[in-house]
Amino acid sequence: MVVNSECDVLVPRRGRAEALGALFTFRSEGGTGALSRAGRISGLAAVGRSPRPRLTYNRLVNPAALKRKPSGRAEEQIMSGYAHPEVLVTTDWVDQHSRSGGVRVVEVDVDTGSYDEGHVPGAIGWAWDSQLCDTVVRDILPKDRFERLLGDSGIGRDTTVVLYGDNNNWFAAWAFWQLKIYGHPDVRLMNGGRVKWLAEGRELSLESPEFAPTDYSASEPDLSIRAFLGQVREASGSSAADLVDVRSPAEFSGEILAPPGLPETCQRGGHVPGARNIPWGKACAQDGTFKSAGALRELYAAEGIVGDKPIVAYCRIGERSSHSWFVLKYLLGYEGVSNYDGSWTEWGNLVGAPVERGA
Amino acid sequence: MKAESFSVTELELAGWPVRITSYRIGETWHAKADNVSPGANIARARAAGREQAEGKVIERASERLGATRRHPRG
Repeated sequence: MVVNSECDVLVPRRGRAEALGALFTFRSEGGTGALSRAGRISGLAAVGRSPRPRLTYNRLVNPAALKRKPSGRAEEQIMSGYAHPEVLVTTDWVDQHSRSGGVRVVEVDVDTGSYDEGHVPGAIGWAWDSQLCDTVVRDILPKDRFERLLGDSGIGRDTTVVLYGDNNNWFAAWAFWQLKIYGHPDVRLMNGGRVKWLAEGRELSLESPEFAPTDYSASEPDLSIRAFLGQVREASGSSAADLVDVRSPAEFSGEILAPPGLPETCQRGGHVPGARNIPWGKACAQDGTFKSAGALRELYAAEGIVGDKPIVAYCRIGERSSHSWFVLKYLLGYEGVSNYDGSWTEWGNLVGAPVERGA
Repeated sequence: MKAESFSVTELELAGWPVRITSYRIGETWHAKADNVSPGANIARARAAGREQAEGKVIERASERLGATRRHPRG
């Protein structure tokens, strides 16, 4: 059983239960630590299979741990250690400011249905797959559509935009990256994202607020934070820049061509030669917040990434790597960090591109 | 309105570690399944009870995970 080392809950129970034939397998291999509480799923026949299985397992993450609110002084203390603490806000801060004039809270999820379940009061929702990309050409939002999106969202150049979302802010970071490409001055991420807001039992709203449109004018795109294929080729063939592959080890090694459970979207598995594998999730603590600057510096330094040369982060489609880009550029303050949004779905489909396999 | 009875569980489905998150908002229970590494959402479900919501999401996730191919790395 995989247990996040930061999690304060391990699996002390021994045993193995199998349910639904070979479909479900639960295994716990013993361990030490404090068990949060035991849980049980029974009545899986409700999903239409028989015989009715009983699957017993331990709930590994203590809800109380998630509800714990280090979002007060402790979290602020961690945040103050970052190179640019001004780009992060706590859930407490959002609670106090989400409806303030001059602040626009925007939810951007991987799972675009999440917003409709309930969201931060006053927040609007953007869909990454239709509103934050060019839907014809594979590209980020063109400038005119970006301006329309922000204008329609009632955002002006002087608005503080606070982004949050599921999966520890994957696509919120993607949106952050695009807002920075187009030069929006004040963009912030809500530390911990949607899961932290839910786990803390904070107020949710079903209302989709509307705001008076603005005539938003974006800057010309800052492409210094975006890497293209040519730059990655160059980095791969020289030591002029560090390549950081933030996918899972199984994707990096070529064992799988896409995250488990998702469709394969490339022809070849592996990684860009010379890349180091530092999965995005290692930058996060159990509650979804970012680890301390010291822990982050150590994480990257262990793979030789110390900020002494330009860094190009990539993943599969560029959203996980925008999360790591955010960490490297804003939390650690490294210079010359860019996000290769073509990522593995570009490189892994190129005819003749060199590929490395294995860890 | 708030998310209540928030719970996160990790288990193994079709050979992959999976994180099941469930909670209740109002009268509806929500459940989601993410692959632990890298953390992508695989399935989501709603139901009147936690067990039904988790059961649905486990079934959907298992089907999708069962289709994941492992490739030789050599």
